[in-house]
Amino acid sequence: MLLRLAMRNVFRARARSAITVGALFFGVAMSLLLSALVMGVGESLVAETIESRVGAIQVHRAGYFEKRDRQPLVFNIARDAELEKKLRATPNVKGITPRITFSGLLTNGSRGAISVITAIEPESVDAALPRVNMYLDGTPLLPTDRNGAHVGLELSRALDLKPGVPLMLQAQGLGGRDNALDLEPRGVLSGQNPLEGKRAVTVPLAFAQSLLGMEGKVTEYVVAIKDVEQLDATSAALKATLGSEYEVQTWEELRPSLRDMRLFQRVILGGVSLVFLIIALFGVANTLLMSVLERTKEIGTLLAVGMTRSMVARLFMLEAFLQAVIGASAGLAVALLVVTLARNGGGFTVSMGAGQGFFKVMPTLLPAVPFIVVISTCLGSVLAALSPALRAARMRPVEALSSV
Amino acid sequence: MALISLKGIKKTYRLGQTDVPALLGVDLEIEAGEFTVVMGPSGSGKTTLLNIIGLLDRADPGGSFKLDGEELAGRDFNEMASLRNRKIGFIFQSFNLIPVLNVRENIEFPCLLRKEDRAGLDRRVELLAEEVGLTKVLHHRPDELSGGQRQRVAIARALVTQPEIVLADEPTANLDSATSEQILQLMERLNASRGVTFLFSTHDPRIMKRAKRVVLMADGKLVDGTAAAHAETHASSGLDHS
Repeated sequence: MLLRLAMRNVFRARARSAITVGALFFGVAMSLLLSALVMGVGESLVAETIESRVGAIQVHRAGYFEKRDRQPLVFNIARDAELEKKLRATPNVKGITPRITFSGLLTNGSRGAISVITAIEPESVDAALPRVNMYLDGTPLLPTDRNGAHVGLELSRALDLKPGVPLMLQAQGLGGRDNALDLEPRGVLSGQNPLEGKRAVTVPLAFAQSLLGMEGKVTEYVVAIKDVEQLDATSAALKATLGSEYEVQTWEELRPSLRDMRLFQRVILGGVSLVFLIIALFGVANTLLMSVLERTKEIGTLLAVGMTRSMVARLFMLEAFLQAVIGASAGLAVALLVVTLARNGGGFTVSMGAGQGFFKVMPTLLPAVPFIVVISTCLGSVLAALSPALRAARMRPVEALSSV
Repeated sequence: MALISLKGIKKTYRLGQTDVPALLGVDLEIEAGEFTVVMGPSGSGKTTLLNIIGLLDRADPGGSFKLDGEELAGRDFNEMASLRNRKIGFIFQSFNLIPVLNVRENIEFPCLLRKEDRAGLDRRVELLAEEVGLTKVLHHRPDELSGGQRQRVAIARALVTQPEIVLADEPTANLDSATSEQILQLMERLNASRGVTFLFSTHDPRIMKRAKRVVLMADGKLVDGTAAAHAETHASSGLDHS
């Protein structure tokens, strides 16, 4: 009975209810769309990190992290079928690929630049880094390719890279001897962030092993996982499996700034959403207070025929709740539609600045976010209605009935 | 035993720093089945008396108010709400229907508040609607009804709970003469056929003509609380200047 009465009261002053519902709709839709965009940026950065560069987890020889800047190659790992079998057999591991990372001087004969080189194994790289070529403007490195190279956008410009013009990579090998080998550019990594684009070079693993005198050796394994939510559990399982001889690091440990940025994004997003919600809830409280004042005589009648104070309060809170449900549902529906359309359309491409590559954003609504936004809107509306509802409930019947 | 028994009922309102006495010790007994009118000039305390009898307002401490032998002084708000719902029906001057409910819903509303079973309620609402002449408009909203029809809805709503007493505050004040006459005849008939006790507050001489008993008030006191009288007598008393 209260529900029926509340529902009819919501549709009674349609213009006023429309304003309240509209405010709630706008608040929910904006919160969700903003969340989708911000989370999309964060998740796209993470996905790019996990699937194209860092990987979900990396395995190194113990001591690598402490001394990688001085002696990165000393802490190498001899490729071992047994080790690789153990890695692949760990629960939640999807794939692995070996790599060597090192620094060297990349020259075009007249100019050179210090570069950070990642040597990948073309045969297995897709298993661990499926989007390794997502920003490649050129041809992927193939298993048969002995001396191809992908060069960061800024670096390629600095060296005036041209198709067919060879490059030379000089680096200090495992035993401390310098060596240099020719490379042929196969493409440009246009989507790297500007800083990495100035230094990044990708070469075949066999090329690096030959250059550095590291035949049969690598500096790390990149491990891809099936369920990213199980990142820490998988890391712990790998540590247990491999023992103290190896170091296991997650992308969050390897890129703490990205993890912190994502946390910061969520805090900011929560704050902005809260502001939207509070503005909408002020609207709810205001319109409900007007409604209480306009319906004073009617409240007197309800009390006269036997309604208790708590029923009167519940009636007004129910009206606020219904408005919130309508507004929040509409906001949710529109936000879901926009996000779905955007995702089906391939997301948004964000330019990193003139000539500095681009960044793909896929709007992402984490499953918990719509629930949190909708439930907090509905509960918030009920709370916002508390003051007007109590005002109505505390009326004395005789005074309410005598109001004009 | 009287249905309503008031002894030494006082009520004082506070307006700013001033105490305004509205009732100065009223003693009154109303028997079941009476058709009683409370008369008096504006400010005499009629409405205050009805509000206290209707449990819409509280008398000052000290007096005694019994309904059907039950002392009501000191009851909390929810108990008073429950008593209003079960034992008292109200008919207001401006009808006071719930605008978003149709005629049927308005009539049955007090019964739904106490979660009464629908099975018997539907039949009772239909019989009552037939008795007050609302059968054809049961699904209409109040704003689709005439003033007379609205007051009939209010009467049906007041009676649906089968109350001990129906309090009617100026029930014909917003109606034209012909409609007022019809409404009065209806209440008279309900009083006779159902034995419902009616207590009116009014200035309307037509109600006085029909009253079995007239209670006169002046300056917060009962001038004559017992005599059965006819309207002509009281109309000539000069107390009602309306």
